[in-house]
Amino acid sequence: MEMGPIVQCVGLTKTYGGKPALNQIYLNLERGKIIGLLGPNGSGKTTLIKIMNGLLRQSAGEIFIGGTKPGIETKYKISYLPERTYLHSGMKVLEMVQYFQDFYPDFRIERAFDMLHRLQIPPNERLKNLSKGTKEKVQLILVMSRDADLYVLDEPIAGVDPASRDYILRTIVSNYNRNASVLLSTHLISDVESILDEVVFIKYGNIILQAPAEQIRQREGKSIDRFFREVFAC
Amino acid sequence: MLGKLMKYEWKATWKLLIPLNLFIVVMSVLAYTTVQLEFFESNNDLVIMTGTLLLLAYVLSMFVISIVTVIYLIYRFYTSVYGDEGYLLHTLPVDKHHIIVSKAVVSVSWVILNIFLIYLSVLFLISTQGRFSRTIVDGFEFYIDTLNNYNRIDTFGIFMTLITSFFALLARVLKITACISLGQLSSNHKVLSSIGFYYAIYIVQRMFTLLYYVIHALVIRAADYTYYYNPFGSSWAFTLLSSLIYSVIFYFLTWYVMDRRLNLD
Repeated sequence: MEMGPIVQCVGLTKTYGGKPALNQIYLNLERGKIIGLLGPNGSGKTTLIKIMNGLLRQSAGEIFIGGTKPGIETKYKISYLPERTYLHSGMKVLEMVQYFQDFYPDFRIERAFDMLHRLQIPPNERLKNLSKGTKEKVQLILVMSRDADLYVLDEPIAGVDPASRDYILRTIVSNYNRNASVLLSTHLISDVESILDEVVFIKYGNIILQAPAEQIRQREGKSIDRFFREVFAC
Repeated sequence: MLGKLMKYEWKATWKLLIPLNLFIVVMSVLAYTTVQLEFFESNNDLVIMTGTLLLLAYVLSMFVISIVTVIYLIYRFYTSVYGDEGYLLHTLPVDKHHIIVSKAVVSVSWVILNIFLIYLSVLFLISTQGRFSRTIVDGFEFYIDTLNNYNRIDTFGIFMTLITSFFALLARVLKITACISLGQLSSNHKVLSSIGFYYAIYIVQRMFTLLYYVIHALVIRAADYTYYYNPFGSSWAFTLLSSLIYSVIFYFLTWYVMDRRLNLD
């Protein structure tokens, strides 16, 4: 069992044309937790997630995923769900399952088929024939069918109906490895609050709070959702 | 992982490109039948017009299919590498070199298949005995005779011309991948920026070529006119060398943006 934080940011900075999107972030994310990365639009959530996944390079500082800088090795460790549809629309659901199985040694095909069956998604259907919400479910199924060390989920429930949200959240909770972590970025705090172990608030590229969810609720005497609205009130 | 990337690149592209290339075969058979049945020998204007239209459609389809193939491969590269699908591609545990090689190999293969099929199609057409095809055959023979008058065509020359053509094609494919990649450095108007890079690079390449010919004409072969008009002569050496150099430059430009400056929307 690997020890140490799954994510470690040391003075992580990203600037776009001189403007900082991330401002010397120091952040450790521990293993075995579901962590909410919460902040308003333009706060730097997606920039941080992109750097974690090797989709963007930082301007300064360092980031380590399980002790390693982003690269091929860290892509084996992270299972990433972006906030957009990244599947090739001409492919069938089954072909995408095989695609993931081909590239990720930790992909569990039986888990994927089980979830597809539960959500009544036909494996032989082409992705272009599925609704936006169903495509998002397929993506989530593919991502959660891996035995990764870190699941990075960017807005995993934004495009699905409220009835499916509960199933998806249960899927997240029940499918991740107990030594793994889930980093969940969302605006729909009230929907996910019940599953969060820890909360990270990010504002203007700065981490303004990192604390256990229960501690915040007890200290502030209110829900995370209510607290978030107060902290980020316009 | 390179093999897997190539497998999925083939699967993604053949759905459109196989039917397109099959269409070349269908049009070739139609054109062949038109010539074979000697439509142009008929006294009926309608038959002659039908034959003319069919042959016109054949020629047009060859052009259109070639252009659609190239445009589709460019579109495919853009969407799969820098579009939404890039979020999946760039989070796969694969080397960026493998991504570029898989895209380049598959694209070059499709273009070669396309050129080869069109070449076969024309050969197939002129192998018929009609008057129309005879005219085309005569044209080719005249062209070959003209070349022979300047310089003898030898096996080595043909072999080197084929090798040169391959690397010239590779350089062009990598030039497009490099221009699309460089266009991503712009925060806005990425497509326009890619087109801008393409023309800027084109001008630089033309300047180098012109410089080479000027130096060559002044210093080396001032009196040898045949050199400039003979595609089977020694000019392949310059094209081959420049294609190799361009291929290396364009490859690393593509890799640099993909690996060091990636910034998906």
